Amino acid sequence: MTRVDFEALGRANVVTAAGQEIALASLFGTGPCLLAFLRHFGCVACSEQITRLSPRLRELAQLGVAVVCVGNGEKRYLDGFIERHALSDKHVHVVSDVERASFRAAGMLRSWWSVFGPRALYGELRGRGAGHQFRGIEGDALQQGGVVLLDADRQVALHYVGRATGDYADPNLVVGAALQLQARAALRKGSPVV
Amino acid sequence: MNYFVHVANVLFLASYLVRDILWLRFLTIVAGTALLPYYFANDLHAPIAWNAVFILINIFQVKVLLLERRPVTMTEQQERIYQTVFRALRPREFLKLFQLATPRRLDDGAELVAQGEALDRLLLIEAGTTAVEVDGRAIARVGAGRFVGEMSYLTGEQASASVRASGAVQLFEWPRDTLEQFLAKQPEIRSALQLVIGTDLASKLKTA
Repeated sequence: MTRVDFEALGRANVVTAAGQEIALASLFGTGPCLLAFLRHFGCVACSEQITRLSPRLRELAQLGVAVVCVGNGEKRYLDGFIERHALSDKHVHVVSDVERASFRAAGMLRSWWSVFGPRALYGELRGRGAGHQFRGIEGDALQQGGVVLLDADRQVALHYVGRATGDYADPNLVVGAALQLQARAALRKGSPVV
Repeated sequence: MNYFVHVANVLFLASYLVRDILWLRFLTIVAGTALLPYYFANDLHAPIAWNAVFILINIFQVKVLLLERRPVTMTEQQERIYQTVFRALRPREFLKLFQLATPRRLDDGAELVAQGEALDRLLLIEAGTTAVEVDGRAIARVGAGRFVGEMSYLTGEQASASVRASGAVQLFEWPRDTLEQFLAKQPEIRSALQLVIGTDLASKLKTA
């Protein structure tokens, strides 16, 4: 069962890379929208997550999906994250919600166990083994991430809540859900199903 | 006998210095083998047994690595399909996927998909053209290098149109269950196939 408070999600104030403070809903666009929630900008697992998602951004753009990455650190950490992962010219908005209102609205987890439990330890080691570096705590250390994929009617098509550090939605799952959305949207427009 | 211990450890040292996993495993096999005379001479049965296990595991892994590194050879037909449709996959991945497909040849007018059918397969037109018909009326054409059935594959919906061969058609067919079982174990191939299907779908929807 999805636990997304869509109204609160859209109202959440976020800071953009340009330093503007806007409502998150202004980035949703008119079609499907993928919200990828990060732990904090210095997190090993979030570096791994964006590294795996980044090559799929063009596919998501082709499928008409707006992509927004939401972190929760200060503006300077946001800028560093964008620069490290070369996101400034990619099909993604990276923003920061320091109050984490959007995280709460999206039902994202926040707990000590999710950061210090065995699953989190495994996630941390896996990320470091893959070459990702810990940059320091650049946001809320206890906050976990996940993804919310909204269709054009703002219904939740995919809701993934990370249960521990390193637990993030497989990009195949995300793109697969976006493909299904595209196919179903085509059906509604009257395209024949074959 | 200590001579064998020194030789083995020099080989272990060399294995730790190389970066290529194949050389690492090969040197480890040789090093492990070099230790065996010492173990036999001293009746050390446990080390003999464990060493044998490690050597066998490494021999198996070397075999797997060598198989993966074989040059990929494709027939002309496979090369054509690969270049046209599956460039997003690595050649070896493409061949693994291709081996699951069944080739079919249909004559003019033959039905590939029936309207209302619960489609349980994904089709790729290799040569020829097909007509997409709704209630007997042709609404689109799908030609070589394009998929048929990807909408049903993605949504699980029944076919709302039929697809018929316009002239002779050659195609490849993947059973849905077989494909899904395969892709469940091959996330990288699933990723690349998503790109291929997504591109095909987006292109069709633009021209619809």
